[in-house]
Amino acid sequence: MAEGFLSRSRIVAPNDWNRWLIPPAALSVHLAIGQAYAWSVFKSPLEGTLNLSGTQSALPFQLGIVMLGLSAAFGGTLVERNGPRWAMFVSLVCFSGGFLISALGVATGQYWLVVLGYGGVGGIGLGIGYISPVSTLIKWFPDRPGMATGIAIMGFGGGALIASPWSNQMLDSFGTDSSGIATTFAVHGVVYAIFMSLGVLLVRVPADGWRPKGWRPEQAKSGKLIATGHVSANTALRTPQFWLLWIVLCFNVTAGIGILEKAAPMIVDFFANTEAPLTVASAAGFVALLSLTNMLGRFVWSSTSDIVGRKNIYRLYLGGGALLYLGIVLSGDSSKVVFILAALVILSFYGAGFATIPAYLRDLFGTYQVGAIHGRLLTAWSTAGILGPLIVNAVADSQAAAGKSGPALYTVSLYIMIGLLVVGFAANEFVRPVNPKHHERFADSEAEGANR
Amino acid sequence: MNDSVRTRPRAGLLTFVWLWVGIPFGYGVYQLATQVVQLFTG
Repeated sequence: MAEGFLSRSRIVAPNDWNRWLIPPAALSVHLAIGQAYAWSVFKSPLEGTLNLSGTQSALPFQLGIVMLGLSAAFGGTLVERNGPRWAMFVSLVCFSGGFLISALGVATGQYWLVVLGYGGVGGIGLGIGYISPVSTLIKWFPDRPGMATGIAIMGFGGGALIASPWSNQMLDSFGTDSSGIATTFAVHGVVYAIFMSLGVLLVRVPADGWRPKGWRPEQAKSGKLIATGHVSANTALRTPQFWLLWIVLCFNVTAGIGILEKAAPMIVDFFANTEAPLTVASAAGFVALLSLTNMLGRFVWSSTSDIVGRKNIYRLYLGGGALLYLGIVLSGDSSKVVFILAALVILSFYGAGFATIPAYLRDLFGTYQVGAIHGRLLTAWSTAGILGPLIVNAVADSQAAAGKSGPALYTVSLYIMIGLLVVGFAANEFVRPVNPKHHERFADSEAEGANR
Repeated sequence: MNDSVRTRPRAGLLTFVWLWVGIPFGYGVYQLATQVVQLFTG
């Protein structure tokens, strides 16, 4: 347990603390670690300077995502025990330290240091940072947990939007030789450390018994699925609800990643046989638009879930997603508007699936160890990260080998995505309130206090 | 804390911390918007 400055007891907020100070604390971490999805900016310079293959230059990112899943899954209980300031500090040290180690690796020509630094050490920063503000936000916003976690997780989507042009500009300024890349990595490490320090300094946990003005706990317990007790992270793994949500998240993400990962070639291939095929520049614009709806969906749909309920919103993500995929299949290359609009909404559901899941977990398992439970559920993300691209790429390659072109290249993968979404929809339908036998044997107030 | 306790607005701090995250975020969204334009003009 961390003592002193990082300890949970040092960050209990005074009664008049403004809770709207907490989302920026969370955003300062998520906007930073979201840089991970902009790793591709460094691939070509590294390949040219260190004589690497494309597979080798992807290793730091791949290890980083694996470490994200592992550290979120195994570090969640530590995060709950030690509190958000400790977690954000660990994330800051690991994420920024990863860049500094990578700078050393490039400067000395030791690529393994880049893999270990960015992927290994930095990846721990990603996982701990991702879950660090979740349970704190849920406790500060018991009346709007979907909106609160939506803001933070939207930040993770926004991180790459900032990093991609910023990193490119730095590489333009410092150069793409080993010295330039090392300097760029070092500047990233320092700037991200400063940026994330806001979260470390600012984050607070609410005092025992605190609640938003005018809000009563009974209001949060009016839904059929909303827990009246608290479930520990270890016990949650033994409930069907955890695994049903695992399937829901995994298949929702798989379906979205399938489009996201191949968006540019997909839209070009889809309309290749039409009178007005798309240019590469148009395809890049399409990808950018997908990123925008992916990010906005995290906030908009997750906030909506506070009103319509978590189960209903996942019905929309999964059932609506399946229908939209079907619309793409049926319209083929007859309408660009249908294709683009359907893809944009699907991607908004994809992002929203990430953002709404913490609130769904809170509804089912209570707030006691919701961050740790969330961390373990993120293994579904890691699985989907492998499944989605694998399905779309393998099917597209086999269809191309069979001599097909245009929409026919993707028809089979789109039907697979529809099938996955239907399975996810069914899993969501099976979600029921957690059996009270799984609840921890203490009063609500003790559970709340245990996390402060 | 009960309902009768008033929350201090802390306007200066609120503005500072939201700008801290909002400015880089706005920069990212602006850069993205310039790419989106290519969908319609490219």
